[in-house]
Amino acid sequence: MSEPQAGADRAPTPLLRMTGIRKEFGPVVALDGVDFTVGAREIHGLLGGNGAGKTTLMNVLYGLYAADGGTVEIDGVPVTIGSPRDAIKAGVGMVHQSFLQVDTFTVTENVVLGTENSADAAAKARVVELSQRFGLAVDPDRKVEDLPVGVRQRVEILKALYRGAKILVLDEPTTNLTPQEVDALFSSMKAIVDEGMSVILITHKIRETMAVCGAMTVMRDGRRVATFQGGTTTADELAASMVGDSSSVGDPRNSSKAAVILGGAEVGQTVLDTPDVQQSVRAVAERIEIAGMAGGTAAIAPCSLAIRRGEIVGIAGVAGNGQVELAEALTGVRELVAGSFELDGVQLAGRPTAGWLSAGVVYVPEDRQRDGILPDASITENLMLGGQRERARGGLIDWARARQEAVQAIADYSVRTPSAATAAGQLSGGNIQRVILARAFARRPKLLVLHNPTRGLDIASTSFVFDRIRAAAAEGCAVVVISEDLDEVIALADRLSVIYSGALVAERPRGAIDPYEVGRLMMGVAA
Amino acid sequence: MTITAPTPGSPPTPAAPAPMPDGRHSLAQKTRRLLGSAIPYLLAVVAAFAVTAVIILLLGHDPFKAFQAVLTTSFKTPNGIVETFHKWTPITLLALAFAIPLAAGRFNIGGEGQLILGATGAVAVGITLSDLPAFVLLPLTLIAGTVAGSLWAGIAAWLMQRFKVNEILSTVLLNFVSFQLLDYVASEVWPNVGAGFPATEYIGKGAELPTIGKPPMHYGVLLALLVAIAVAVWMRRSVGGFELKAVGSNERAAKVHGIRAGKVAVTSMLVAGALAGLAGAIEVTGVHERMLEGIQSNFLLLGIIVGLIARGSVVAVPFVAFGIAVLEVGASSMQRAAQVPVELVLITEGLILLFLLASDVISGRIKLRRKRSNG
Repeated sequence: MSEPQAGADRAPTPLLRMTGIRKEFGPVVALDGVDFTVGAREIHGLLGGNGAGKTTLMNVLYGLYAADGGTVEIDGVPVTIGSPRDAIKAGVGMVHQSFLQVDTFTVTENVVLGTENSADAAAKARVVELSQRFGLAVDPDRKVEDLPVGVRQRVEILKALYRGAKILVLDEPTTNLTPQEVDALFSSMKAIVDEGMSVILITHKIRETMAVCGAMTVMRDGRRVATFQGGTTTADELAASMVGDSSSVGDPRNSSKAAVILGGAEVGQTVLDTPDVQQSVRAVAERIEIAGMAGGTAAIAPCSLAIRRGEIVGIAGVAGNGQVELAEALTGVRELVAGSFELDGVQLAGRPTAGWLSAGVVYVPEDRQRDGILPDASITENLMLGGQRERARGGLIDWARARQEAVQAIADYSVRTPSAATAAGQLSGGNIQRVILARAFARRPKLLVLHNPTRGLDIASTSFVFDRIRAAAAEGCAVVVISEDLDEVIALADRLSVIYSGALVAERPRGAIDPYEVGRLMMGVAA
Repeated sequence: MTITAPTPGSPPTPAAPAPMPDGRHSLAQKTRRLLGSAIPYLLAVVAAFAVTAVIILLLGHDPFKAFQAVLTTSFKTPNGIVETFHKWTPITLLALAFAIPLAAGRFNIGGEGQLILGATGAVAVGITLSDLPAFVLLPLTLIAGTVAGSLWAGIAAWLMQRFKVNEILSTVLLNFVSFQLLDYVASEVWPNVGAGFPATEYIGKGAELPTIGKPPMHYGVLLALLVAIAVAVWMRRSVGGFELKAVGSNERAAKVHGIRAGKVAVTSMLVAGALAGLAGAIEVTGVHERMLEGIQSNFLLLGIIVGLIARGSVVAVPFVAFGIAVLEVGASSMQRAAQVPVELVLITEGLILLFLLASDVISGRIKLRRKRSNG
């Protein structure tokens, strides 16, 4: 009789309690009876790889998926969430990785969009009030298309707060932010928690989780593996429980490797095998000038880049600072306005894209759907793309052989697909990237340019891609990794450059990289 | 644009038996899949005929008599068979002329203009060089028609590539120009004054296509068959066919991977124009022995219908074209037998396409619902 009361005394009713959540996608069990509890005024880290089910669990909470079983309680009251509208009403707000914003609308207009309010002076005052209270600096009158990623993210958070969210879910919010922006985001999260709300932080980065979260839940294969209270665990322990190999817990080599991939370990401490580097220079881009999309204004200040055989050059930067233009210029997709580009002494500037391709330049583009695949062609055909002329005999393609090779590539890169004849557009983002990478590495590139190669991939795949990139470099391939994810660049690069506002602003060799200094450079603050 | 370049084969559904890892299927699986994809076609045809039957009833005629006439005329007499193949030839070529640019995401609505130019090229050679022996004159005539059709399509392709003029607009408008050209050639350049309507003189004997059997079927049928086979092989096996499909599927990705998308699109239009031009030359050398007003018939419309019913598959085009040719040949005897106007056949053909598109929407909904209920 006194038991419930005693229980209530000891542990107050949690803000959110999800019990036995189950979700199946056809034969795949995405969530297998997950229990998840978030206390009041808590920043709760939700960790795991992409296949782990953390985003699925949150999509259930946000009403994007209907659960096949389980219950959700908010403030101790059972709620039924059938749609995002229900979720918002119940006080749940979610910020996805890709923002749903109307580019031509102002910040205020985007914030009120979908509510019954109009974007009047009162709404603007409320936006200003919220942004000041939580340290989310935005100009309410700017159009969102003019804003950098970090600020657009703040707009998304303001949207959720404006709708009265008690529980704020952030899906991988730090991927494209500089360390300084991450710090600002975390202090905003603390301000939000201080006001009595709770934040759920979906992430695979251990370092930041440990810095900010009061509690951490690790998921793997659709199950909750463990929940840690802040300060009761170590980076290695978290990494081991995420990767799931219990034998590796005791093996510092494995878990610290995972921790590096996950951004858990400090870079300076890591020793990675340096490939046997041949010192002769392979690719030289000299004072190249690159035009923007419109063709008129220069997207990139004249820049030079020399890459040796076996060297991995990392280019860090905040999205939209000319990365796409640089990547396309280095791969012959975009014509150079001026300057020269040599690969193994062969001048490629002025040649058509096919000429660069046959010279051994391979490009793994950032926008996989738009630049990487033929959506309604089969995997076999997609693996052929770009190599069709070299592979053909007398103008005819041997599709029987191509199919066999596709089956092999699917096995090698563990692409999850019913068959090689499946249309590439039907695959998930991660599997599309595996197809693109399989195609890229199969060409045995001399120069490999990768843009955000592991975005959206789970830990195992990320580690696999890193291994492949290092292996290619070890074979003498010159590699350029352009990424908005600083941890990725730092993990891979022998040499790191920062791109800011269309210029390469600094260069640091491995071992002399200070993430905060790089972060300042990424934001254009002179170091 | 609501029409997208169709993809051959339907995506595997979870319920389907697992294919071999390379995506090929055993014979039994193949048959089952073929039958499965035939169902919407059958339903669409049945539904189209059902609606037509209601219309015929409302007009106060006997639908069964009408259908009997439509469906059996082609097969009852040798004449019917030959006439069906003669109709099949231009319909197939114009359907290919529509389907090939469609694979690259371009719309060639200029088939009749290209056909008329093909006919013009053919009569120009067939009349002016009429004294040449057949083994020189006939190939020259056919080549002249093919080249003329290709050049006509080339105007639209050039406008598209150079000035980004929408190819739907330019090809349609060039059709109207071609009507005037036909009129001019038939009444001013080589007029046959005694004909009583705009028509040219007859081409030389050496320019006429040889025939086979009785009633005579011209060799243009065989030529079209060979062209259709060549196109199918080219589309499925060749580098050019692959690049065409790549550009149609994702032009941007094709460019990133070294394919010159503009060149591929222009080539597809030139090939299309050549096929339509060949159709015009065959009409001149095999059927009319001259060019006359209305030579383009409604082949453009039928070609587009065939191309769309075949969902852009160049392999399916000749078969669908045969079905449409049967309906077309049956139309006039339907009018005689059941007093139903010939235009009703066009309505039926349109309805088949409409129901087929509706079945896409419906099966899309079913798939979506299945997906939703699965998760």
